[in-house]
Amino acid sequence: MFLSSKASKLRVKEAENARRNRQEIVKALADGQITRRDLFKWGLFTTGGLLLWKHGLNPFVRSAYASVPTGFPRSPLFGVQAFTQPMPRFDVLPRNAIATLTPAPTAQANQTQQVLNPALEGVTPGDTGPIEGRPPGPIWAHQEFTRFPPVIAVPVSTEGAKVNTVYDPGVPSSLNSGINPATPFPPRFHPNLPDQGPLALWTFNGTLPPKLLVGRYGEGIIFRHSNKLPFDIRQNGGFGIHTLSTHEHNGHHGAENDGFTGAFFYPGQFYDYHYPIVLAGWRSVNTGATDARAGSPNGSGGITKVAGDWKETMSTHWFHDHMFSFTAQNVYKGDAGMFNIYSALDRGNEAINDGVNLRLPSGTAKDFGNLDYDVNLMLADKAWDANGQLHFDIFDTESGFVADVMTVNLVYRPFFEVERRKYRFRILNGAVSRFFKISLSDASPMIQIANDGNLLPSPVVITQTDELGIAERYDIVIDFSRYSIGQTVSMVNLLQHEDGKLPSSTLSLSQALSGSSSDPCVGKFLEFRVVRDPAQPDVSQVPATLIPNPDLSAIPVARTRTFKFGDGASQTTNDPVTSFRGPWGIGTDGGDKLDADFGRISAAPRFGTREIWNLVNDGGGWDHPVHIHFEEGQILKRNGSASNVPAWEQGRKDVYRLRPDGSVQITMQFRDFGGMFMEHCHNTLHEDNAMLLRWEIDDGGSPFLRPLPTPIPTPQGVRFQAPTQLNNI
Amino acid sequence: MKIRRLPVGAVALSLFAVVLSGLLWWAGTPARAAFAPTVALIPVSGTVTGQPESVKFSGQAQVSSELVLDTSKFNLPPAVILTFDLSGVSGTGSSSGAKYVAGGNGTNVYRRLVSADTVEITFPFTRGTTMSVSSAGLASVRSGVVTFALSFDTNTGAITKGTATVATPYFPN
Ligand SMILES: [Cu+2]
Repeated sequence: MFLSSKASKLRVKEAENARRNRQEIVKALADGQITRRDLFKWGLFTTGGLLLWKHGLNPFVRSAYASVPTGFPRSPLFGVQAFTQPMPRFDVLPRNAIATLTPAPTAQANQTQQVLNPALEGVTPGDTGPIEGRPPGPIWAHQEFTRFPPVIAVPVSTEGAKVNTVYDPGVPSSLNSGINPATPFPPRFHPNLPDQGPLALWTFNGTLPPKLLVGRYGEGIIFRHSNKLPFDIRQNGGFGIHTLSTHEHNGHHGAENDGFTGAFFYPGQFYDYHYPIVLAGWRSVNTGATDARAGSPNGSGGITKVAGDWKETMSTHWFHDHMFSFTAQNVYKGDAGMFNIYSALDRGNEAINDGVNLRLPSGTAKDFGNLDYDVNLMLADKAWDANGQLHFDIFDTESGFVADVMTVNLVYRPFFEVERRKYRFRILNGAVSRFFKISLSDASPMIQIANDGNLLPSPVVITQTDELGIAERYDIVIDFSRYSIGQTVSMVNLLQHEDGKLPSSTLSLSQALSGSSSDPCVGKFLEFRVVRDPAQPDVSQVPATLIPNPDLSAIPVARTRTFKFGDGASQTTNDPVTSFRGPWGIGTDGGDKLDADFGRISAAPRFGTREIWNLVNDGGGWDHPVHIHFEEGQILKRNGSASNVPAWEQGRKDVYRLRPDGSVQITMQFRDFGGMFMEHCHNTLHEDNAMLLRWEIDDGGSPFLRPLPTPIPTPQGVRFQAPTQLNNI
Repeated sequence: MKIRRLPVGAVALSLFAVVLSGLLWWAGTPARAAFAPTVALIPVSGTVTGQPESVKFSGQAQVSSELVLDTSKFNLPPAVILTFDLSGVSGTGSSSGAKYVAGGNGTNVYRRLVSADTVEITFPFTRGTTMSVSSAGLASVRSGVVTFALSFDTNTGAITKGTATVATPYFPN
């Protein structure tokens, strides 16, 4: 959290002192003198006992000078004004032929040895380890690697901030607010803010803007992720950890490609994630691939049919780090991108009129994947220190970390030039703890067409969105033809936070615009400038029917489970690698709330079955956006009633906001692939401390080993240990 | 709620010579009572001006209020989640006499519970009887703003009385 701009000098000084003292602890942590585990053990990091830190360490405790929780000094803006820089479109990742990958991808992890850098923890000179960090052997082999052979290679790295000399926005400069992609793109939040140092900002390929992965159904991708972070774990600029595990949120892939929190890999290694991009149900529905609605753009205006249920078609994903107990730090540090998936239904071409294509706003030049009028927006609040370097509070393990500067596509409150026509915006809440609620500054109507990865059954006309929980995606169509050239209209955030627990109040549009909120991230954050008429007529459509929900009614419900999300959790295990402690936890089927242990199995749905899961906010006035990996769910009830499910939540989802005191009942079918997956709160501070559990499908698909052994990665290689499990999983 | 004082021995963190003599540990939270939302019907009236015609709205908004009581250690103040349903509100065109329908059902806000609150939301409306999207997109959809003046029972979160006024959105840049 942050101090009000009106805070007294004494208060600011106090907060500066606290920040400095905390930096010493951060350094002690980084130098290995103490561990986060020590802090927990000493009771300094738990749900109580922090009060002794008053005036010395914890700027969040009540101050002697004010009655409100204190915070850090505001991020200095170095005189920069809002809406003075263009918003960069995402940087499209190159798609190469699979043959360009050296070494060639393999079904099982590539165990070729390399000499390890002795700066890595636990390494002595001369040690060797595998070049690929994926756990070895058949259980972590790519499932269905021969049935769905990869076609496209996308090599990426995570590394420290550097200048981007290969920016590909995927559109001409006229559709990117005049940004010349040939001009080197510095790692800055604004041209007049300092460059981020290589230890402050860690992004995909080390550069800004954030990266966009482009894929289409039936065309498998190898996402070869190379870890190019510093070998020395202490070289983290105060937060973040150099081990990585990348989650494709919410891919329907085998678990070996899911970014399991315990399947992390080290600097100097790569990890091949195989995204086959298949429709759920491919083993049992439309197996002959005869339905054109279950299809993919074929590159020349036609459709390549694929197996599976066309009602499972997905559109807007993102990918981000999922390192156990470090997700918040690493995502905040920049390790996140987006993934547009194209299909016969949602092909990113608004002109092709084949009776299947929904013709959503996009463009016409390419067969699929036109980005002209299809714009990714990643919203995230950030904070920086007096030197302008990204700053994070690793001590805030309780409520969540909310910062004071609003960014879109990782730049500070930009403008975006638009034509007088319809646009689709794929809006991602890429914050670590903050919720958003969006309106246009003139209250004009918008059409919500998708929620999370999925097009809705029917579009919904709104003037303000619902709360956008962390990791949720809303696809919104805005029609700028109602404006005249020269006009501006802005996106406005209506949701005020006082801290990371939950939004403290929903503001009206007029309040949000008034500038009276204590929260600097309330108000306008993205200004649209209407600059011209479109050169081509807008032929895009928003059909009254988009993608109906898969009909699961004929599939018997094999099991009902209940998960309670709350504080006061305990830990039953003490594994130094797999378990963690924190205030937050999940109680399964009436059991105690437990802290995360990725070696513990809390649920094991049977392959092919359907279940009903109740997700319950246990006694808190706060909110939890709960994410369930791998399968899309349908919300059956909110707070016990189907009538409480708003129109925009009536499609498929992968993040379920429980709401304060609320509960959600969902149904899912578990099929096609197996392995270990997760369920967790996507307030990533809750997730890391330690509101996360492992569930797995281990009786079908490929793994066929019950229960699955838990991977324990080391630089020298991944070993396995027997998992623990709850009763009656 | 239970508070349990754990017999934690003094632990010195030599770095800062900070000594902890003990700490509070919350043993967890009791199961919460479920608070069924209360629903109030609030009379709505007012006019949205603009092209192609002014639209006069009347009817009753259904506003549900769900009390949120925090049972955690945070002791968050009581709050309400208000959910709005404007399907009982309709408009009449000033020159055409045509019916207009209001959308935005399910719009919800989170507010601290106070005895009297003013809550302003915006809503889309269009001529006809359903708020469906046509191939023309949004050209025919307009927006209104409705301001609710609500009184609450601060024990139950229930709305005890209220009125609502529709107006033309005016949010100068
Ligand atoms: Cu949470």
